[in-house]
Amino acid sequence: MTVRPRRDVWITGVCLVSSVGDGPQAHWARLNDPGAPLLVEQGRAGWLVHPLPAMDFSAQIPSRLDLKRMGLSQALGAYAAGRALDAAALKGSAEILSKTVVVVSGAGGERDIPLDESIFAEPARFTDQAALNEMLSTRTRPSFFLTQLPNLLAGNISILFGITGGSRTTMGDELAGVGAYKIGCQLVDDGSYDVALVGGAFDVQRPDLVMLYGFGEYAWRHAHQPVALRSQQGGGFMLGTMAAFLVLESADHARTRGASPWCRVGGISTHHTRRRNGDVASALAQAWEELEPAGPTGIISGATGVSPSTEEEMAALSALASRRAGTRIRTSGTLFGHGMEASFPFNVGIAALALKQGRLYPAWPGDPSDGSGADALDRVLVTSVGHWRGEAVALLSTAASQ
Amino acid sequence: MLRDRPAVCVTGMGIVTSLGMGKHDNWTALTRGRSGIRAIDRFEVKGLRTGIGGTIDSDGLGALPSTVRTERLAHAVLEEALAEADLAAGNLPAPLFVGLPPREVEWPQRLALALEIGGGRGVSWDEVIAGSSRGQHRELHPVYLPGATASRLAERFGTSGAPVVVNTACATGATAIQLAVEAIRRGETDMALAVASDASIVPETIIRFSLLAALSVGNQPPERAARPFSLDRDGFVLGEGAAALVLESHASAKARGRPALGFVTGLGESADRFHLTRSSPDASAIVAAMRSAITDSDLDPHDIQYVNAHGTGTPENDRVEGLAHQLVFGTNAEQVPISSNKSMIGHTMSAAGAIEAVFSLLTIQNGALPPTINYRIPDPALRLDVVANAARAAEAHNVLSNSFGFGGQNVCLVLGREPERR
Repeated sequence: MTVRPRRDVWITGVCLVSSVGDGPQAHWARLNDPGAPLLVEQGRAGWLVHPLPAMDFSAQIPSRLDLKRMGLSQALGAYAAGRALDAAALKGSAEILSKTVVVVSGAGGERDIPLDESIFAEPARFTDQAALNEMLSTRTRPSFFLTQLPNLLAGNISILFGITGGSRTTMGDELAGVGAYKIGCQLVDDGSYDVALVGGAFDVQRPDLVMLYGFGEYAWRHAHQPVALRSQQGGGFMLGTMAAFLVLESADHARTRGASPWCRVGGISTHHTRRRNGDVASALAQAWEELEPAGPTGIISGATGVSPSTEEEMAALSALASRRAGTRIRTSGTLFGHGMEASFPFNVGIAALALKQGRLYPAWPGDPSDGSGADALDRVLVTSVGHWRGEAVALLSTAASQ
Repeated sequence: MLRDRPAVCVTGMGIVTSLGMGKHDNWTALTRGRSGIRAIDRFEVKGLRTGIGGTIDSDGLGALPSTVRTERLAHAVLEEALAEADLAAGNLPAPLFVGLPPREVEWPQRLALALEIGGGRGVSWDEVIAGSSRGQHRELHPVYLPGATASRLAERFGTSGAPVVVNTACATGATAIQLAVEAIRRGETDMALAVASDASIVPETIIRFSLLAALSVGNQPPERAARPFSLDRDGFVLGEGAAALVLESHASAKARGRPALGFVTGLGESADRFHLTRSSPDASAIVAAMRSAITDSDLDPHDIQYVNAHGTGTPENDRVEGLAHQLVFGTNAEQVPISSNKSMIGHTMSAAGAIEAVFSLLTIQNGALPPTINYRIPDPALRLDVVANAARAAEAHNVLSNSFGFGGQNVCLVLGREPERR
């Protein structure tokens, strides 16, 4: 299913936070010169992840009490949201923000690790429900629940920055990020809102989620390799902590207040195939046809590294690219890791960065080769092929393109 | 642009609560003032501050992990709704919007893993992860993956595009409907499915809400614990349930020869910035959502004939909702009856907004206002006509349904008998 905007919707602000650092400049620098990714072992699990470097969120969340209360992923998300509002010069514009909608892709799942390990320390004892009830009732911090609810990242953003028009939260792995972005675009395009703040956050440190992906053996258990080169050894993702927030705004509204675009929002194509052989390829081919990219095009692939979907995606994108000169493919996960619910907004943010600069950054080792082509960039396609289900492609263009 | 948008009607509904399975059993029980709240017997409640809830335990559902039970209920209500709309599963030209609670592996399953890995000795989180990630439990990934329920529903029913899963806490069910209606209004689709399900009464849920002092602790007798709008109300009672709606443009329903069971004529929302778990005490955010829904339906407040309240029965919610009712309806406030389904089914959390929308539509269809039961000691500070204790025969052409979620996420729907007047 493909939807296309009927009017001009711009991205007027972006913030990306990841293992690479904080903000568009840090990210643009590394996109152009990736170097070695930041990696650390996930506990004793035997695989590597991309962690967040130590960061100070107080510029956006001044109250230490608030910071403590939120847990890392809500704090990280709220920080990126505040920075995106700064980038769009909307922070403190009470009137506009009171009529803004926030749409967040959330995962929840914070754990109180010391409490959990007190229970894991005596597993037989706590199979007695009465004993477990007593333990949880006395040792659970009353406000901890609030760090676990996925919609409270949006709630915190509303409180911190005064966003009171509306608030929606999506869940569900990679498709949550797709859904949040699509809803935000549509609410601005259909005139329900002039401004939508859209994004998500993902934290690799959450043991419940790590265990869940561990059940399915999705993690890449070897030294770092570019996502497109993992299939020989069975494939797998390397999770990465990240957050991304985008300000989506009607072009009219932006012009009126003197804001300039990073890029323009185009169509979004979403699919949910059964992942039989060839399903991913046909979903991507269909999306390509319906989105009709034109001119020099970049592709930011959100390929996770998991097999067989990654190989199928890379082959399909290469085939589509070979039919159209000037199409170049990049793989975000190679440097930043896979950020589940945050991945799609993050990769849209990378696309916006490139379109704002008017050029795509050079291919990284392991990316499908570029062939010849000019540096200039008109359009970017952002893909999401979920580790288990869901396929999506979004088109973005420079604000000036037809 | 507003004037061009299609009227959106409902052509199928499905519902399950602690009152029973399906519209007939639910509506019968609801209008007879029956309560689905009972003592919890699916797990040991010793050590918990409350041991009652509107659980759904029939047909072995009580023994399932909550994630699985929630998915089964979603499945059941979608089947009922599609049957009523005369639609067969498979190749449906309708996107799917799913409201669900956050899912997690629960302690019984975590402890089983810990015992398996450690053989009875203490283990760390790291060991549990390392010990369960070598393929011993591949089958658990698609059970607990956040997007998996929606994926299975989308595949089973053949809905179009990728499903969208939402959670706005207690407003979730209403948000699912809101997204579906928006998709039809903007012409993205002629038809959409909205479903919301929550069957997560497990010890941890009780503990989490007890620690926030949100739950009623008046356990005896269980069916009297939920007392919305009463002077002696002391918190909400957890409930389980699910509801689904088939929504389509009126033109699409007519083309298919299906009767409109009602219309969603207005959507309103707001986000409160006062506090994570409490509404602005001046009711301003709630008033904004209510007014926005009424305006969106192209009606005035005096056109609303009944309010299906959020009505959790917490001291603060009912106070603020009562104040909002005064502010929105003004001198007419006591002429607009209001009642809370939660007095009978408990707070069905992520499903509530959808369950209560179905009850609102049944209210319109059947010409009867369901009661607020347990209303023995009115709160004199709330000057409301709460439809006390017994259902009331009344024609309600336009109903406002309120849902106010933790995190300040407020969604109001206007349900009506006819398309909005121009």
